[in-house]
Amino acid sequence: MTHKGTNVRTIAETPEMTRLFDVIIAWHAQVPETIERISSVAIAAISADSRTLEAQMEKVVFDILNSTSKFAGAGIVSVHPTVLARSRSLLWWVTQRENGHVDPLPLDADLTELGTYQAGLEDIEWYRVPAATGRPHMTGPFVDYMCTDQFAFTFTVPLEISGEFYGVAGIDMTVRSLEEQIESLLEDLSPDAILLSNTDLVAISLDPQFATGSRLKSEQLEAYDLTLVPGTLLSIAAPR
Amino acid sequence: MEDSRSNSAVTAAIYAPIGEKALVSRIRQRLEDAIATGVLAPGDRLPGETALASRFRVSLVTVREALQHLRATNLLYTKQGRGGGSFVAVDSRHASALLEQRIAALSRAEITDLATYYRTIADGVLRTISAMGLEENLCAVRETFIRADPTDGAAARSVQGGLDLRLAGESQSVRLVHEQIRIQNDFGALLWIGLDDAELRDSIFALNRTMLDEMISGHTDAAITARGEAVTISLRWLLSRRNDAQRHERENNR
Repeated sequence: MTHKGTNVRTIAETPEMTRLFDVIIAWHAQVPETIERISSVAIAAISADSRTLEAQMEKVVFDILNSTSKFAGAGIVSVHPTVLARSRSLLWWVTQRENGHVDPLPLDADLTELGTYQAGLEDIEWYRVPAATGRPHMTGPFVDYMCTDQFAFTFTVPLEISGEFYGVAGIDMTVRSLEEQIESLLEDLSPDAILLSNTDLVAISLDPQFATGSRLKSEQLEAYDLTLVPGTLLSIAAPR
Repeated sequence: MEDSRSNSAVTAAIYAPIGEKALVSRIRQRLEDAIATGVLAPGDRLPGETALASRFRVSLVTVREALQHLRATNLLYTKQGRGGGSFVAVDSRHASALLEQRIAALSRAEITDLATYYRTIADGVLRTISAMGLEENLCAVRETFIRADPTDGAAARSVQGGLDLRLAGESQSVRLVHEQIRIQNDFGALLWIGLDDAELRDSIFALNRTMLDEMISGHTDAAITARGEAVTISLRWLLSRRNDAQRHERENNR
């Protein structure tokens, strides 16, 4: 991933920066392995021509969502004929935390007012990009109307069986879950520090003029030193 | 005793009735409009009562009352047992008659006011997308829209509604999305009545494409103008349908 703009200078590595990296990496750490777990169950069930795909997905997702408070939702999405023959396209569950008790809810595209009009899941970024690139993708932050009505990141990977694309597996994490942990650490770095997603999308900004979810232009990025957080698609920006 | 510090009209509004009666007629109206405009087609099955209560966020009693009214006016019929539920009873002629009645009942002022509000939200959505720098995201929205090829008014209204809702979503504002959903439920089906006419459909959809193209190129003002033109064209059609409907009523009452 390359940053926009010329003269990209990285921020000096300081103890504050290292702490920030550690927290972000820890927050991010469970993502690949968790999605891998969801993928393998999905791939095994689909390959075995199993009619229990939905039940198996529900079981593994319930377990995942109940095991940690970090994930807001998880599941798979597929519009492959083989899957559609036995199941719905959207096998995704979201957490509803009430009284400290986690209650996964099935996400039914029809039940969400926005979903009623979805012309095709294939156009949505978190489906479209892994389908095209064959690689994992982080979408957002964007307001997840189908899930939490909050800003969230959706991490998805392509589901591949014998080289054929079947759909995606993924999880959702709220921006809030990260914000709570790193806001003060960002402040130690700079009172106007920004956490960026995919080089130019604002995830968390200490500078109030930039809203979460807005996109910065190259000219605006020129004023910042940027550092990629290793192993993630997140960068830290500090004014020069 | 009057409280001179507070505006009495504002205070009165706080204590306006919330009653279940109001909810029942709003639910009836929404379902009737959907049936009248073909969004719910003859033979379509409604979600179950419990699901409806959950989605509308009202009590089961309220839902049952609303459905009861719709059965009594022959808009719905129910089937018991497996594969049972509530189904849309009307045929398309009945639906058209319903629609005429609904339109005739609205005053000119009400219709124009609803259109004004619809436009305001649409403009707000477009400006917010632009302020957030998210114009690029509309490429995917454009792709979906261009692929749609509705062959009748009901299908076209579904595409239009989907577009407007999707745009609201792209603004990343939960409030704007809820406002869009609300105005769409109250007025969307009526506003886009003009999509029944094939020529009008072409003009309006061309304006939608222009709106999207202009947004993607960063010309928000031009996009808003295109959206405004589409609403105006549809509004004119709605108002002229209303004149026709009222004339029919006068003739029938002679």
